[in-house]
Amino acid sequence: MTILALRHAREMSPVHALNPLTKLLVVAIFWLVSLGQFNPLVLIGLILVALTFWRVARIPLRGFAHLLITLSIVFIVLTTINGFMFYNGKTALFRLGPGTFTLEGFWFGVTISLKILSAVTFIPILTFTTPMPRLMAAMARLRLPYKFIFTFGVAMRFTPMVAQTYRDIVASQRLRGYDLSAMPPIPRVFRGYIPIFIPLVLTLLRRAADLDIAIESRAFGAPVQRTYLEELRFGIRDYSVIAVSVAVFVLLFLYGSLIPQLVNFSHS
Amino acid sequence: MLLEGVTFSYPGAHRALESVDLRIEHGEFVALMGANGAGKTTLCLLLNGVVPNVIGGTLEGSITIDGLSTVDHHVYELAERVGVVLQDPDAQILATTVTAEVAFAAENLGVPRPEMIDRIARALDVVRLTGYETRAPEELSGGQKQRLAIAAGLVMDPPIFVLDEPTAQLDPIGNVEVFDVLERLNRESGSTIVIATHNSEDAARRARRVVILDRGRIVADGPPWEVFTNVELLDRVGINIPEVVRIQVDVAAGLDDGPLALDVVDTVGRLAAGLARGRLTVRSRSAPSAPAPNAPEPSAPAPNVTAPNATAPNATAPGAAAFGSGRTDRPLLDVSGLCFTYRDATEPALDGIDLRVERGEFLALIGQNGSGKSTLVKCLAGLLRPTAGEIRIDGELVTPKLARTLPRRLGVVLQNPDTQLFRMSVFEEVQFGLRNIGVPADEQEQRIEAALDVAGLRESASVYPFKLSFGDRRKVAVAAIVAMGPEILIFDEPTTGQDYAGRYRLCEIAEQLNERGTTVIMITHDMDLVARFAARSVVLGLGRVLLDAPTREVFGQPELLRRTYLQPPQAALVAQALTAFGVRADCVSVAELLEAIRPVAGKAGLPA
Repeated sequence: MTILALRHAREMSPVHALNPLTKLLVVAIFWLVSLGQFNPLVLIGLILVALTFWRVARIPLRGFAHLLITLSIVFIVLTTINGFMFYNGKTALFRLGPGTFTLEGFWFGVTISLKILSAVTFIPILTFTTPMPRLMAAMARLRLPYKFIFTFGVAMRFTPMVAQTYRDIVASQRLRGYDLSAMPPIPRVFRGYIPIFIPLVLTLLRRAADLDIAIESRAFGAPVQRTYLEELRFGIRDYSVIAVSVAVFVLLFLYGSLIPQLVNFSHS
Repeated sequence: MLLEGVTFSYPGAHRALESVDLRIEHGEFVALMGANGAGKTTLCLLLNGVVPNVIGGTLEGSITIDGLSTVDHHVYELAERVGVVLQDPDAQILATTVTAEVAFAAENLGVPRPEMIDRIARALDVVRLTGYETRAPEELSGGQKQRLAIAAGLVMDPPIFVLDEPTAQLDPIGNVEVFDVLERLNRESGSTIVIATHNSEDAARRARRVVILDRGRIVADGPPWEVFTNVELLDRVGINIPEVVRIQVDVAAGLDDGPLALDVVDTVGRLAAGLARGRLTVRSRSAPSAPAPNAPEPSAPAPNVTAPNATAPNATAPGAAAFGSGRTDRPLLDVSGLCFTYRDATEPALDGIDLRVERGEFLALIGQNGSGKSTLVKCLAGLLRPTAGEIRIDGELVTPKLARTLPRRLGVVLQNPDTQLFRMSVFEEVQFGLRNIGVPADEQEQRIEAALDVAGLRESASVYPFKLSFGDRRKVAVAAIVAMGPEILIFDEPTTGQDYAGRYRLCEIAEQLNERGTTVIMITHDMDLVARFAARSVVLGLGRVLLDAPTREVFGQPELLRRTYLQPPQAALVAQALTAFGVRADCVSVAELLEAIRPVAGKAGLPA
């Protein structure tokens, strides 16, 4: 996912052209809606807003399908637990042993799942459309400590390399007849990864030592005011997107607050 | 740069450098050479203060760089004077785009943005990466990554560049690219270049001064034509001597009085002049083609770990089997119409590969990075499923199901042994594969001991693998594969990360196994190794077989090799240039060339 994000961040689209701070603000605004609202229709509306951004940013929509598949287990677990355990469940749908699965619990589980999905769907609007140097510059503008920003950037840079090293190690152990994929799940989890993780950790430690030398050799930590190549400016496009986002935020919030919810989750 | 009486020891280790006195003037191009462990890396890191300021240890003596003592100044102060490039192209790139990488050091130094933009553009221009600004590091070749590392230092405008084996992991084109950039920096900008390298041909041609280190001490220091003449010393300390130098040293009588020629063209000129005068005399001793005599003993003799069903090779040269009477109806490895395209790729990585390998052959697979060598090996080893075509081993079609049992029949020794070592002893490491393929317990010990003998590791059986040198860890990886008894053994770049002596060690093990019937396929860019060990060579390019012929014939086509950025050994090129004097054109080694020159050496006259 990180590799895809880094790659897609170099494409060009109106969303890519936005100031990263604008995108950060948009994401924050809609996360607020997502956090504050329990109306499933509002949450679905949020997801549609996010997907509109995806479309404009040319982020492949099959990524949304991957998201759904990846999160589906979480959603099923949440809905099941809430179905049986929701404190305000009244309308029984079915019984299983001593437990009762309620309609209210079911809707609450669905709503929580929608909240998670809507929050997650907004993340690629920032990460898939912002080259890492611009994202780091935005973090600097937010006055985050540079050591934190640098660590974040290096982690993003090395994620593809770690993934590649992992694949190389799996392949090299397979050449010694060690086929992880052929192992039953339980032994795989408890001891199957040992021949993979030990070489991985040792290789990464060695690379970290080289990295340390490279960082020091490029004047990291020099006692001067750091400058940045990336220059972040707000343009008309940024102001327009912020204005529209705020308007949508208000509309969704009003709609969610004024229109009766499908299900009343509160005590009554 | 001034080092006076420098002795350095890492904590708990022996002295890495001892009593080093070295003075390097502005604008020099210095090659640091020495076997692995000679102290090259330590010296490089001392020159920019990383040792001892970041990597600690005990330092005696003084080091002054451009007027600054490295002990009294921070690394960030020295960084503006010394740019550093390390060996591993991947481990030293910190940013996610080319521009961000180059900008990093300038940002750290607080360079104003407009000036930074100028500096970045200039640095990318010098290393010829203009147009790559938005590329990600993983989209660059090894040579491009090293050039990027140079640009990342160049943005600080340092007058000195120190490079620690920057081409050790590169293919021939990457090697040329890096040396071209360094030459340009040295010539046009007057930068001082200090480069640690095992590549003696480039050191001879490009550097103007060569410093030889042996066990932490400087044992030779001077211009290349002078240092490389000291054949006895260089052989003793394990430095490869360029073939053109060996040729001239052994054909010394009758050459003009000028300095030693350091490249093929000048060498041919000197030899041709001598031949034309009819005064050349070839010395009686033959040039050694073996590596440094001071290297550890090669493998112990004669343990039997050949594949259970492998047969002894024909009496004919191994590679001849594929071309002459040795061609059989059922080759051991039969690849036909093999195609493979990576996901998201527009061009196939393999585009209809046909390859037959007979039992007992020693075959070299050569070609530049991206030619398809690694993809082919991954397909052969069952790590990738071909998109078309088929692979048969001893007539049996390799299917995904069969691929699971492939390690018993086909073994691959990878470039980097550290991607597989994880046990507490060498013995256990070798045992791991045997357990995986279900070798009975009572048979395991015998196989392990035999494999350790082949690799020359019997004494190290109980040692923790990571306490061994890189070269010995590679031998552990070989033993681990050999113990499984594969009929076909593939060596992937046996020279990567190795010094001159080390790069022969694995090939000698391969040769030993081949003599006992194991079929060997060696992937390499090292044409000297190909000349010495492989009777047959297959040249790959753009996923296709460009040439499949006996090695002599392959070296007889320098134009085709040049297209894949490969070059025959210098001895072969010299022989081809001297055919007008009656010298045989198909020589592939110094010894053969000397034998070919001997009969015509005393006959005066210009070529017809």
